[in-house]
Amino acid sequence: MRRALYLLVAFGLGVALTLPAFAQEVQTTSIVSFEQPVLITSIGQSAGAMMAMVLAQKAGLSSFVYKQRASLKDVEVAKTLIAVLGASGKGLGAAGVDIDSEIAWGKKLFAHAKELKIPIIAMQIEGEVRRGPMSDRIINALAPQSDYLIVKDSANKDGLFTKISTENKIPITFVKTALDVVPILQEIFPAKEKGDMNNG
Amino acid sequence: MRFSKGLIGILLALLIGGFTLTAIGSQVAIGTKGMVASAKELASEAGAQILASGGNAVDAAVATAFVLSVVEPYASGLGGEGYMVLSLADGRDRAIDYRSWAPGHVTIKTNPKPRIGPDSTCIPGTVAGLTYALKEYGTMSLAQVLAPAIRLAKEGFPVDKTFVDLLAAHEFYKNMLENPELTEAREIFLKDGLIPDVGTKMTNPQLAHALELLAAQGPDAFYRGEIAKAIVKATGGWITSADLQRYQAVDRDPITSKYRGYEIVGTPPNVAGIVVAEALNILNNFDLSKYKGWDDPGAIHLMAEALLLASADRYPYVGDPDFYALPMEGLLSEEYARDRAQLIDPNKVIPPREASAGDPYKYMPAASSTVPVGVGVLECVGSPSTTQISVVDKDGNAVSITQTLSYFWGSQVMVPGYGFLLNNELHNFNAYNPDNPNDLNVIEPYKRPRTVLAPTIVKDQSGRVFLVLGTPGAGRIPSTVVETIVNTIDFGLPLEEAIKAPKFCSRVAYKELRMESGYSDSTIAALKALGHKIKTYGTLDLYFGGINAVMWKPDGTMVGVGSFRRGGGAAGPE
Repeated sequence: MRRALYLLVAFGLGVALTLPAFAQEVQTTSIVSFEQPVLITSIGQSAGAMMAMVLAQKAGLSSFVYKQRASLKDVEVAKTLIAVLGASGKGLGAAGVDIDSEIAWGKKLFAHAKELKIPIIAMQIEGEVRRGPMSDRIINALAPQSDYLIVKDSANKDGLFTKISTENKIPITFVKTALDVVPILQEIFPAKEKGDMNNG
Repeated sequence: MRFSKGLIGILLALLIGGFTLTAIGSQVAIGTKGMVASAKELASEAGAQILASGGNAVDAAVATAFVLSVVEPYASGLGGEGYMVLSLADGRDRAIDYRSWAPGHVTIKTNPKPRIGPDSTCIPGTVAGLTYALKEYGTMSLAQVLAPAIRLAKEGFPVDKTFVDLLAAHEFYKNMLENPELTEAREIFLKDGLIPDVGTKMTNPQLAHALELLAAQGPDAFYRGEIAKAIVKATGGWITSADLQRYQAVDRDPITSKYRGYEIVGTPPNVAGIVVAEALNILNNFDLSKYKGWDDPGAIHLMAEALLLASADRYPYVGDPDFYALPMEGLLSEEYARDRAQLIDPNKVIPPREASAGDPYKYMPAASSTVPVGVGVLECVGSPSTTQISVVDKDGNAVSITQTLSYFWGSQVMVPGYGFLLNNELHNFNAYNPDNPNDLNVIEPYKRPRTVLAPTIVKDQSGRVFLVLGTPGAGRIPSTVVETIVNTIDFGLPLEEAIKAPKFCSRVAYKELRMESGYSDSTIAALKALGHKIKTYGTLDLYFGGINAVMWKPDGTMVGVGSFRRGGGAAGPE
């Protein structure tokens, strides 16, 4: 089975779903495992996807590619999609897209991944600075479609991600700082796997 | 224990009120012994400390500017430029021009449009301007006013939301990760290659070293010494040693005009003081006090049209004053303004692209026929970068500074070993166009590019300083300054309300009237009925700048307001 969403259930999904909304501690419970190669991309064109690339490097992932704006073809050669959610007016402007078309594009990308049974990790690692009206539209449209959520806890002050996680039964891990994502990536991407994608 | 709903309500109100007061307290300050307003509370506090130590407004403004180079390195700094307007208690008004110059090797055929990189830079003027002002009009030593900046660069400061937003929202982050020449920037501005969290302590020991060199050696360290060599190297020779040695700030007469009896002291060309003055001169022909205030469509329409006509005159008549004889007296004459005002129809909009320049030469004491014509209007991309410092001291000396790197993070060229970025002012020049032979803004060696800085001081009928203000915001600068002056003088608003009120921008470079959110639906509808095409922006949007201002009330109270659009702060000695 291509989809590599292995529930290790150390503490069970229920534990993940009851993570506190205002978590102060990094949640590193092993919940899920994913396969490489990984495609890291942005929905909203903020700098978050680039930060995820840095985190993937630090985590020592052996096979990942970063594309700020990925194509459907990029998805097809990946075994996991990491979509970093966060809108940047400047980023959208530079990409020549508006928020509506970006959300539509994100939905199309997610649908294609699901069609190929490629699991989706949705990340919000920029915290509250990326929780404006545009970012929230992206989060509400796409986070519920993901298979796993990694969220900086300052982005969840209003409980939005807890709500999405609970209502959609999506495992979620909160981190205090973006750097705390490194051990999580190391845990959910077993080191043994080698892929054929190069960082670009 | 039981609490009544009423008691809980009171406690909640006190709690919320407490938070609100805390927030306002960082942005609004009141005193009687001097006041500083800038884009960062830390910088304003440093300026206030200088005032408390016996320094005058110039000492405080220079200290504040150097602190901003540390805590707001994306908006101004040693590698940038600026303009300072002074109103001294002895009655003198001065304008210190430390705009950047094109390097000496450029020609009119040089492409001025690179946005980043060494070939986007101009010869920086900030160090020359600030040190000149301090020497001529200050009372303290350079080492004294540099001390707060050196301390913050060494010991660190917490980055705020604006800082994080600008790191996260900009291609600078990508460039820092990918460009090996930005290794030092990456080490200073990022943490483990990541954008730091709000509140993270940031130090800049390299910049501390540069500031210490300035303290010990004066501006020669920058223009002739080891920093100069580093700039030449960082730009690959785009800026040369000869360029840096040649640079000097210029002490000019400011432009002055009258508005409702108040005196407006502003910047002469090659910036936008003339736009502010002409727009206010035009508005002198209308009674704005009969309108309800900032949300009245009638007032907005008149102001938008006045700003539009004034901006139309900027393109053909504003150039580097060291290269051209400009028709300033004509542009500033009341007769000229009256005739321009007659073009305004209270019931119908002038299509922005159809607003044409007037002929100020007809209004000059000795008429001239050498009218520059045929200059195209270019749409400036218009980064809302730049920064504003406003200071009044206990003796009534006042300083208004607007400084910039042009875009946020300027050219993205870091000077290795010295921790500062160079400006990207070159793109403000126009490329040579044989169809526009009279273009005053065509690139030439050692010329200043035309920009829109407009630091301003308003004096009351007795000649006493009333208001010190200015703003970042690129093309929105003149409109934001004019609207704030009208809000205080015509509508009688307290300074914080005058600044917080929504802003709009009207200029020939825009096809539409650009408006911040916050105007009422009926106002928008009425403006549309007059023929305005409206483009709406967010609430308290950085796009419309970030006024930092000080008002000196007749009762002696000084009110300082730091920008509500950029997390500014004000401070005064106790």
